[in-house]
Amino acid sequence: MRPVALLLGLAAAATAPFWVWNPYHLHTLIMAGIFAVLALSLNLLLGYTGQLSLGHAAFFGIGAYATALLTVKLEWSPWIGLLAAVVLPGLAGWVIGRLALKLRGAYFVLLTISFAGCVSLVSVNWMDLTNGPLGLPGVPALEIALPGLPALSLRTKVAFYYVVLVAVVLAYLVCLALIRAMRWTARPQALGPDPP
Amino acid sequence: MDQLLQHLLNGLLLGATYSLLGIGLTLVFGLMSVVNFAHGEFYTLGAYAAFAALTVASVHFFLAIPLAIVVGAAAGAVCERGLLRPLRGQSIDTVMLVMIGLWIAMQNAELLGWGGVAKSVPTPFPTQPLVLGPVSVAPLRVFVFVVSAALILGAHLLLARTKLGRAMRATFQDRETAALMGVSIERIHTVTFAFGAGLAAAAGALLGPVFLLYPSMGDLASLKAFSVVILGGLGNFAGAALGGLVLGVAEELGAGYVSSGYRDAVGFLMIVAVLLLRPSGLFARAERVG
Amino acid sequence: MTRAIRALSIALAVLFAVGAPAAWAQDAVKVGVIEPLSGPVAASGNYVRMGAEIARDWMNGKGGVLGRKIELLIEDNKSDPKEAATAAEKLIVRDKVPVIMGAWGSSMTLAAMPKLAEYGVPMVVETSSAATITKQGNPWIFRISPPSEMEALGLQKYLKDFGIKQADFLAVNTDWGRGSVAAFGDLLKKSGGSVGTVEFMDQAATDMNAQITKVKAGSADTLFLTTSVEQITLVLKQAQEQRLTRKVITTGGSSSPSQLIKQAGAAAEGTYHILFFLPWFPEAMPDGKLAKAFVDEWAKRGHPFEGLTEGFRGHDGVLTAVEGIRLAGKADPKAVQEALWKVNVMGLNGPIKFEKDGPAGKESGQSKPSIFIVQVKDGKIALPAFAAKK
Repeated sequence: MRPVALLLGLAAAATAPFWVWNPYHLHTLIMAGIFAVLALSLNLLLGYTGQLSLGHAAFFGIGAYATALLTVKLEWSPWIGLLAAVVLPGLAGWVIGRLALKLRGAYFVLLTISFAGCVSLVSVNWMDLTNGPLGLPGVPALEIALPGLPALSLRTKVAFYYVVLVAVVLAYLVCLALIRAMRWTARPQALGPDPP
Repeated sequence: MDQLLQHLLNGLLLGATYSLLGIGLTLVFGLMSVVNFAHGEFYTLGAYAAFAALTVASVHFFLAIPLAIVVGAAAGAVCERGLLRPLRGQSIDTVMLVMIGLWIAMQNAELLGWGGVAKSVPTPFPTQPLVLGPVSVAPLRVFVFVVSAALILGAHLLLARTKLGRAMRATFQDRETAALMGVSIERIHTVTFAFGAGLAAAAGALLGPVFLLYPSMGDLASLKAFSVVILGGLGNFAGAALGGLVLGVAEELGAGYVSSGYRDAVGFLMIVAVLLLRPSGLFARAERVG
Repeated sequence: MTRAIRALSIALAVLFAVGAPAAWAQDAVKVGVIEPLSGPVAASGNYVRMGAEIARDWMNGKGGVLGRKIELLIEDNKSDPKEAATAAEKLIVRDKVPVIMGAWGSSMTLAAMPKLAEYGVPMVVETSSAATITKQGNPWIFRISPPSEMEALGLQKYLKDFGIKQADFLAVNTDWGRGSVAAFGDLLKKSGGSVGTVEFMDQAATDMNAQITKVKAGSADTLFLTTSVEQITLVLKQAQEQRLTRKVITTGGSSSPSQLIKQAGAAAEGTYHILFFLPWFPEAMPDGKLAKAFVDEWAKRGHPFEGLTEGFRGHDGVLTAVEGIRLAGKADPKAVQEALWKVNVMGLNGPIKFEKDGPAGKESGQSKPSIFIVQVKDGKIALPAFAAKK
């Protein structure tokens, strides 16, 4: 991407809350950002290993429940919840990957779909853990509480937009770093469409 | 004991339709290497076609089902010519994604055309159940079972005994040789896909009156079909037939004795178990493709 | 210009254009409506919508409200809680409605509730029965439908006549179904009965044979059934197939007995239904004339008769919302919220007046709707003998 376009894009993204008047559109941008992170994760898998996972929603769900359960039931800080939302699905992914990446192509796809289906059923039926269809309302918002200053809630649309923007940039950088690191070790393109 | 018998009966009745769904998909998946995520939509199409025939055209119930099969097969043929043929040679992932697109398009077309409200299909069968000792079953479901079995048998005969069936089997064992022997590869692809779609439509037309019709009815059917295909082994006709029954009974027993909420998990867990432990399918020793 | 820059410019241009505030004259008073118009419970959602439209047309015929026409902005929540939340956001932020009616299912209503609190817009809840809706401490909720506990209380006076010693429960696996099981189970236990088998079914499930087989294996005399009319049809048909001979009582008021008779036929014979509107006996309703007029108008529009048992909710919901706007004197969400506490109108179900419900300081509004029981007898709806006497 040309540097000019990149700079323009970043500038637009960084200042969006100031020129996107309609809060619903800002809401849409926030949702787009969240899904962008999800897309980055799938792109990492599909683009660099050639394997398609259609069960990624499961990791999305595990992350969401991790945050919700830790903050609502154990009343831990939402920041720890956020951290858990990165770590726990990561662990799940590692386990699934160990099992599933023995398979290829359509079989891998079906395995990921089945995994997602199971996660979905567990979250609806395991009432004691997830409250089933009654859900976990009242998940607290992120807030910055520095000693001596009043807590700054990141619940407002504008604040949350920046949280998501930071998340997208971080996710992108992490993916970039991962790929660069892998290039020196495992040569992931070798796992591409035609495995050796 | 009565409970167990009733569960087994429920499982077998449901399983027969799973078999029907699975056979159509295993042919397409196994022989054409097409991951047909739109399989459930042909099921839905068959159901709505039968409904349309019955309510709009006032066709007799027993004619509506063959009509639905024809509609399904025709739609399948069109999809094959229009979507799959241009994609021949592309990677399996590309085709899979296209089929997902077809799935979404078809489902929303049903939603647009028929609306979201569930529809009930009128049948000529009495609702009083037949009593067989400790278990009972509705005449309609017996009919569905009999027709499913007949269709499965018919499909097997077509594959094993007819010239067309031989051509299909030959094409997928070795395309070049089959072409050299005079088989029209293009036509076989179209026929195979139409065949699979027609069987799915049959399942839909048969199950529609048992349950209700709504645009998203094919989603679960698709998933069950894939479970059956994995269970039985890709391209394994007899495996799919048996696999369907196994899935039906396993689900029913799981729902009955473990938990009804996790009913669908049985299918998922079976896929996971088979894929990890015995990827060629439970019935791998059974003959490939009829 | 690279393709990237061009694409970016187009995207920005679109955002600027669409983001600019609309400049039309805002004459009509807008009332937001969120209902399931597609998905497993679409039948009910559509009936409520039809009732809402009748209310709107009647009120517009009498001059609308505050001298302006009433306009219904109807959003489909696709029988999905997530969509209900999105629909609420859209109605509040994009369409700036002062009040909403919705969202039919308890799970859908609960999902939309945080949006109401976030933006400060009141919602009239017309169907949902989960207790948590009014107990959560959301002062923007005003419910005209009975929570499951109130329903159970409505049944209390008939318990002896029913002679229930042990009851099984089969409910849809949502807030509504689970809440209903809890409420009726408690009622039963307090009255000396006991709870037998409790089974749930997924909202989109079509094969309930496993659950029915389990229920049949027990020794209860009654089955409480809580789900949408589509699933009730399937359960009754499958129960008939398995020769289940229990007394069946459906709860929640969404069972549309006329539709059951049409679609389940003989399988619906003898079943009891808790309802909040009796289209077969409009004169028996608190405002008989209004009820009769509604039934007639419904028929005149060609709507299916079986939808009346739910369609009335749309009417009463819109009636309440508009009354709130009228009392507020302006189409402003906060003013409407305060005005809703003063509402005192006669709806199709009966008088609508809100009482405080929930934690102090953040109470929701809950009215006390009338509750009725009917039975399917000889393929027709009848008031059960013991109910007709009272």
